[in-house]
Amino acid sequence: MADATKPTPDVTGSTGAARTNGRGPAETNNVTLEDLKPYYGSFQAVHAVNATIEPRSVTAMIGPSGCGKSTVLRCINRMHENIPGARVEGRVLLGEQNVYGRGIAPQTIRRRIGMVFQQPNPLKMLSIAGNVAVGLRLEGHRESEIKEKVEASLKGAALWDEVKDKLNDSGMALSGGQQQRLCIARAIAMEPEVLLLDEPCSALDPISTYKIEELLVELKKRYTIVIVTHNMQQAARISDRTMVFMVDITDKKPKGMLVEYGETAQVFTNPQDKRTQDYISGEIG
Amino acid sequence: MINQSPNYLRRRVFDLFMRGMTIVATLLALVPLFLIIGYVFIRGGSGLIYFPDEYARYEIGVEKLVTMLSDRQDPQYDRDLFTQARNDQSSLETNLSTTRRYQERTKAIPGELKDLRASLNDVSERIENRGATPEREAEQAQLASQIATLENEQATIKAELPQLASERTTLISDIDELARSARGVSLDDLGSVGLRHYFPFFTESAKPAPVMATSIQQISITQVGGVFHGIVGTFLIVGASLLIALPIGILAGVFLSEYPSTQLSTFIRFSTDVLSAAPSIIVGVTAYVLVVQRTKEFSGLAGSVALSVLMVPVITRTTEEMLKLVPTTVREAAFGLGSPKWWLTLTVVIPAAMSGIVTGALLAFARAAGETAPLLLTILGKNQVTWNLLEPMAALPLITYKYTENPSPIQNDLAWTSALVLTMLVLLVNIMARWVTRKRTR
Repeated sequence: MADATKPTPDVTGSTGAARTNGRGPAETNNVTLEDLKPYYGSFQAVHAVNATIEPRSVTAMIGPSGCGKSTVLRCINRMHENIPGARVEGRVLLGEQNVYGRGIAPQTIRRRIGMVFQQPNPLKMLSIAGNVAVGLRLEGHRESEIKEKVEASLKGAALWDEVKDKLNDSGMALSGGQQQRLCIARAIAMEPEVLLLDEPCSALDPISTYKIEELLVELKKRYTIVIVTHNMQQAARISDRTMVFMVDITDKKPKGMLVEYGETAQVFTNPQDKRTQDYISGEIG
Repeated sequence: MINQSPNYLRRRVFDLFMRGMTIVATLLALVPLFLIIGYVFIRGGSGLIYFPDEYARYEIGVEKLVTMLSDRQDPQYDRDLFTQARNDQSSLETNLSTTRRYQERTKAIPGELKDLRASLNDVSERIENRGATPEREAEQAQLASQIATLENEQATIKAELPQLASERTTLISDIDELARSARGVSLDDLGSVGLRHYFPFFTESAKPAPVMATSIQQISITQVGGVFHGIVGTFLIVGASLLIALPIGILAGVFLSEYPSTQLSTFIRFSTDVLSAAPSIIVGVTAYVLVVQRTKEFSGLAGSVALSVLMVPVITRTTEEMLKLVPTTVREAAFGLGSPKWWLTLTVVIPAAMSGIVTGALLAFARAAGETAPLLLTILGKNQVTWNLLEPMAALPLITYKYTENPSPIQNDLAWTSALVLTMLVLLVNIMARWVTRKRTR
C-alpha cells in the first residue's frame, strides 16, 4: 500500500529531513510503558501494561470496546489526568525521561507527544492557517517562521493543495476528512516525537480513511505513531506492530488488559494467545 | 376494523382537556404582555411627536434674540434693548396664545351651536305638541340665551382675529427690526424649525408645563419639554454599571464553569442564586447606606453600583451555562497542543461562548434599564441634562414614576411616553439578544 502512495515531496524527500529545529526526527526515541496502571478514582481501569513502542513505526492498538486501549493511549501524553479523579501509576518513558517524573509539566509532554482525536476538532474561531499555527504561536515562534511551518505542516498532512487558496477561511468549512488531516497538520506543526491517534478514521468515509492511512504510512518515516483503531483491517494494513487489548471479566468490574504485543504479521497470522485468535477470527468481540 | 380499546374515549377526552388547559394558561400568561404593550403604545404614542404651527419659528427666533441680548458679558450689552425684546416676546406670546385659543374656538363653536339648536328645536316641538309648561319655557329661554352668547362669541372672535393678526404682523416686524439693528440678523435667520423640534421628547429636558394645557399640541414650541435628561441618565448609569458588572460577572462565570466542583464554587453558585432573587429595593437601600451616606451626595455612580449588583448574578449564570456548552472536543484540541489552562480559557473557551456571554450582558442591561427602586434611593433625579456621574441624575424609570404622580396631564403624558420608550428599549435589547443567539446556532 505504501507503494501506491504518491509521495508528497516535502514529506519524503530531503526537504522534510532538512527541516529540523533541534528536535524532530533526529531525536525520535523509544516509548516505554512500565507497569502503567491508569485509575479512574479508586478503580483501576487496565491491568499493568508493559510494552516498548519502537520509534518511526506505526503501532496499532486493537481490541473490543471498553478494553482500555484509548485510556492507555491517553496516558502516554498525560491527557488521561484531565478527567476529574483520574490518575496514573507506573512510568511512561520517552527515551530515558519519565513522562510522569517529578517537576515535568504535562504541557511540555503534550508538545512532544502530539494527539489527534476521534472527532475532527478544528478550533472554529480560527482560520485554517490559524489552526495549524496555534501551537507555534503558543510557543512564541516568530511570524515569518510560523508561515513557513504552516505551509510545511499542511504539505506534510497532504492538505496543502486543497486549502492553499483558502488559508484564511474557517476550518469548519472543510469536509470531515480534510478537517481530520488539518488536525494532523496541527499536531505535526509542533514537530512532536510521537503522534497519538485515537480512532482518527471512525467518523470518516472510506475515501477519507484511505487518504489518512496513506498519510500515516508517509509520516512514520519521521514520527513514532501510535494509533487506536476498531478496524482490524486498518491495523493490518498500516501498522508494523500491534497491541491487542481484551476485557478481563474475572473481577466484579470489568478491566482492560494487554494480552498480546508483537509484529503485526505475526499477530494476525499466528496469534500466540487464544483470545487474540478468537477476536481476530471474529468469534468474539 | 380494528377494535378500539375500551378506554380509548376516556383517554382521548383527558388528552384534549389537558391540551385545552395548557393553551388557556399560556394565553392568560400572554394577556398582560399584550395589555402592557397595547396600552403603553396608545397612551404614550401621543407624546412622541409635536407638530409646530406656522408661528413656531417666530417664537424660537424671539427666544434666541432675548438670550443673545441678555448676555451681560457681551460688550454690546444694552439694558434697554434687552427690556424691549423681553416686552416684545411676552406680547407675542400673549397674542399667539390668544390666537390659538380663538382658532380652537372657531373650530369648536359651529358644532356646539348645532347641538344647542337641535335641543332648542326639540323643546319648541314639545311646547307645540304638548302645550307650554313653565319648565319647558325656562329651558327654551335658557337655550336661546346660550345660542345668543355663542353667536356673540363667534362674532367677537371673527372681529378680533384680523385685529390680532395685524397686531402680530406689527410685533413681528418690530422684533425683526430690533434684531437687525441690535445684532445684524433677521428674525427669519434666528428662528427655524428643525427636525429636533418635532421630537421634543427626545431632545428637550424637563420644562414646567402650563397648568391649563391638556395636550402637548397646545403648548408653544419654546415651552415643550422632554426627557432627554432621562435618556442620557439611563444610558450613562446602566453603561457604568455594565462596566462594573461585566468583568466581575464574566470572571465569576469562568470560575464556576472551569473549576466546577470545589467547595468555593458551590458556595458562590448558591450565593449568586440568592442574590439574583434579592428584592431590588433592598439592593437600593444597601447602596444608599454604603455609597450615598458615605459620599454624602446622591449620585449616578451610586445608582450604577446598585444596578451592577443586580446585573452580576445574571451575567455570572449565563456565562457559566454558556461555557459549559463548549464541547469537550474543543477543549481537548487545545489541551492536546500542550496549552496551559489560562490560555485555553481565554482563547478557546471564551471566544466559543462569546455570543452567549453577549446575550447575558444584553439581558442584564435590559433588566437593569427598567429598575426603579434602587435608583429612587441613589440617583434622586434631576431636571437638566448632566453628563457627570458624580451628580444626582435622571433616569427613564424614575421619570415615569415621578411624572405619573404629577397632577399635570402633560407630565402624565410624558410619563406614558417614557414608559413606551423604556418598553421599546427592553424589547429591542431582547430581540438583539435573540439575534445574537441565533447566529451562534447557525
